[in-house]
Amino acid sequence: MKPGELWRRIGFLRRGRQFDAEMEEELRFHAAMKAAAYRADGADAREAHHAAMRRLGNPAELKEKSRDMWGWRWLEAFAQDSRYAFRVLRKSPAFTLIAVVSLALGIGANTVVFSVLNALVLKALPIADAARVYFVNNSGGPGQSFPNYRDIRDRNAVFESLFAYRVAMMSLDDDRGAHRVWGYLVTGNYFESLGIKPALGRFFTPAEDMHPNASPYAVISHACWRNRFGGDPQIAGKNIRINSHSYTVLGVAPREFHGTEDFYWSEIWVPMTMQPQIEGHSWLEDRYSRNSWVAGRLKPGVTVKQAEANLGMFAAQLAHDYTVNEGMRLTLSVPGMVGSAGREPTQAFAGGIMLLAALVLLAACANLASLLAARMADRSRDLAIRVSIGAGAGRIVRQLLTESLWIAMLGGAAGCALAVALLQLLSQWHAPLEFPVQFDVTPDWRVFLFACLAALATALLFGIGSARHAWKADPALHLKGTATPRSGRRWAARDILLPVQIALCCVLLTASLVAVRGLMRSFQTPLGFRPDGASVIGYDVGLAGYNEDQGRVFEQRALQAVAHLPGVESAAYSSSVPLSIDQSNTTVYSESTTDFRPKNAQAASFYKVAPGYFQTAGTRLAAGREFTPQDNPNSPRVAIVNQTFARSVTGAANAIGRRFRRGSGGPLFQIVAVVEDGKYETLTESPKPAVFFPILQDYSSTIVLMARSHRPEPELAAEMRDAIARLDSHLAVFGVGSLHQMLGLVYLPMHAAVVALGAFGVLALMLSITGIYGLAAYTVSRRVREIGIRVAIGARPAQVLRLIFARTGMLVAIGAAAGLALGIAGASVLASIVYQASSRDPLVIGAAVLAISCVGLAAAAGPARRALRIDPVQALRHE
Amino acid sequence: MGKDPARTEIPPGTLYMLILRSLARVGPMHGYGIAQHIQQLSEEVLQVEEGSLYPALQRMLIKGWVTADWAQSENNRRARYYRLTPAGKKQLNVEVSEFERVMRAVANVIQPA
Repeated sequence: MKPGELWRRIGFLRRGRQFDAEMEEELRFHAAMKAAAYRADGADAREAHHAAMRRLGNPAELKEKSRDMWGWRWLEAFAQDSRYAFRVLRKSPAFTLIAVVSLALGIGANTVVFSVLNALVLKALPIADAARVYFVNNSGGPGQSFPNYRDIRDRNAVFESLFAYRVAMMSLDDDRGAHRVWGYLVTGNYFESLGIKPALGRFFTPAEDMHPNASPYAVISHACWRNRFGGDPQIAGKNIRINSHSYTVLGVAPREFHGTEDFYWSEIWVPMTMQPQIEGHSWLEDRYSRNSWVAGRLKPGVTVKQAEANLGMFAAQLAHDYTVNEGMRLTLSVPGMVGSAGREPTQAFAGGIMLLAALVLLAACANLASLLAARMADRSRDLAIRVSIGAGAGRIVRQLLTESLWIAMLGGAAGCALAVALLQLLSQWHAPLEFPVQFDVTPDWRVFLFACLAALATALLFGIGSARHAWKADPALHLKGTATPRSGRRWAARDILLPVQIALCCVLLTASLVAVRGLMRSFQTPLGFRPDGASVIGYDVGLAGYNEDQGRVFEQRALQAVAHLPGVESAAYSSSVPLSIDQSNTTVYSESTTDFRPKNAQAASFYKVAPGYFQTAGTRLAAGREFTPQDNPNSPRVAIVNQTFARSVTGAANAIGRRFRRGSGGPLFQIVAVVEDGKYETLTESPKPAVFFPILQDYSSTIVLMARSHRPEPELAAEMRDAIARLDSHLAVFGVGSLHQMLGLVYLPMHAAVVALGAFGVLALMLSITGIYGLAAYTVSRRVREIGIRVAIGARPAQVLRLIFARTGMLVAIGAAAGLALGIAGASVLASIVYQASSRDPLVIGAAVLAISCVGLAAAAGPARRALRIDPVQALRHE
Repeated sequence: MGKDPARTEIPPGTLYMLILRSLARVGPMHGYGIAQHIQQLSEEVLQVEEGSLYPALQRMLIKGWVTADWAQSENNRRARYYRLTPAGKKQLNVEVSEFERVMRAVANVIQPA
């Protein structure tokens, strides 16, 4: 179609009414001319007029035909159907409200979940040609040693460029003092490989990779530049202080770039060669420290398969050259989620939630379909009349589909609005963490497309049911008022829809109950320490430029200051605390091991702790003693281990006095105490070895100072911060608050799961109520006459109720049983996300059954009352 | 008056061409005028059905071959006058040459051997 033609067709829409008038006038003129011609031939006026009109045929039809030429017939028909649909919907506001609200909830829930899925899985990092950038996993984990990185970078055949990066904490000075900020250590080719253009100044170059500690340069994020340096346009080339050393700002990253991980928003980038100065100790030459993450841009045309084949050969070579690399596998994954280690479980989680959300929508559809089917029966008389005065079946079906389309559109629009509001909240939400976690889940075109498609799909799904009904209707029977389901077919579509819907709701309900129950239990799960009543404050004296001697002195003074605060029962410090973000592993060998290959090693979580740590943390000693001030550099090396460590490394439950080796060929440590097992990295982990070293023998510049007290944690934590500030006002502190807050990240996935699943559970209950109510109310209204007769001949109320609800009750029971079975089968998936979630928990099953029964009763109560109140006299007169 | 002479259906596909040709020859005309013109020139052989004429005119408006304006007619009534556009002239040439091609072909086939 030519553009001019399209334009004329659209112009026609504007003057639709005028068209009719003009057409009529034109035809009148034609008839008049014709009549005049006939008169000229000798006919009298009346005869001429009639002949002319005959000649013209049916002017209405001619007008229609001319009108149809413009090709808008479908639109006019749709507008007409829509007007009628709105009239019908307005006439039954209760039905319309239930339909629109349940769809809005269903589509809203799906849109939110899809949006999260979109952010997690579909959106690529904001970098040039992101499809060619891949993360290199090391045997399923993210960490790679820096010497290995250099070898892979220099000798692989598939990457155009390969860079390494590491999440790093730094102390950054601005005019308000020192702040702890999170950033990245990156190799010089980082920005170049990603293809990012600076918003200001320039980025690093491979020249920054040359000499250790010789490139004191930094790139700052757009937010950092704005918030900390007032958006200074002259910032490039200026000096800033990082960890009390002077660094030159080279440039500012573009606003949308936050680094190479999706949810970790970096403020600052520093060359990897500065690692020794930033972190205090160097691992850049150590093949045992898998501290860097590696990613790179594939050469054009290289497939993932080819790349992995090449890397596989290379991994075998590295394993052959260095025993530490034994068994190394190099695989690729999409970057942004800590390699495959983070991406796979996140995808599984998001996929699972998406599935549940789809179930909600399906339940809403089933709900609407059964409501519509019930309504159809009431409207069959009306439809029969329309059919018998000449409306074709196609016309009726189109009318009904238009109605469902508008319900879906209204529901979809409301759902979308709901979703956008929720997503906005979620995007602005700052996780209560000491870590720049930010979820950017603002909806994009994909999300809106999804919502539109979801609405259309639901319209078709629940509309087709009622349309089918109309298709098969026999007008004659309906008009006689004797249309009953044909004998032999006792099951109508709605009899199947209700159990399906109840089953779906039961699945959702079971899932959400399992999640909530899991959360309840996980709060009771033994952590191996008691977070209640513990206040913490973190700092790193290394970031403030203290050396080891100064650091030790400061740590003692800080401990004294905090221990003397009012209400403090005990205080101690450690390098980190279990379940916080900062977790480290070390390799240990039993004392008898002489072959230090990886297969003989064991990994253990390790912490460096001060005397009194276990008492303060609330960790029970199974045997032995706490560290004392005498466990210092001048005394023999000692350690405290947990029970799992004792069993798996020393082979004895009572391990006191036994020794183990730390690191390949490293020193021996004597065990002085065994403490209870706990959770160290995640709440869901199975018992794993952990070891505690005396911080006096093994210095740490990163400190978590903990105090136990009966006073409210925030109050005490604030006093602790003041106490530290009095000792050194320039020291950046973090994690000030209760120990519970510091553990926020490990609870985050669980909280998210519980909120999501809980919401689905509530939705499921609401949908069940409307579904059961709809069917029960319909059953009663259909059988008013029958009930009237039965009551008149002496039926008791119980008999009336049985008559009406036996079937509904059975359908609900069938659905509930099927749903419960499915829920129990499917909930094992949940167990991987929600700690201690077991679907075989009798409490969960009991609660689900109870909830569905209550819902069923509540929903049926209204219609039941109506059934009992039927007055036989009125009922019989009614029809 | 009396009955109309035996009507001959206008061959399919030629109505547009006839209308375009009439407008090209006479200038702006109303629907009735166009019908009369075709009838007269064809010596009453071709009868233009109103049921085809007006939808065809609408279609030609869409295609942009003609434009329509209201004006006073010869007997002082308001009538819709159709006017040929340049695109309509081009279309006329296309249709005429196509028609002649087909007619030659038909003539070749029915020629006695």
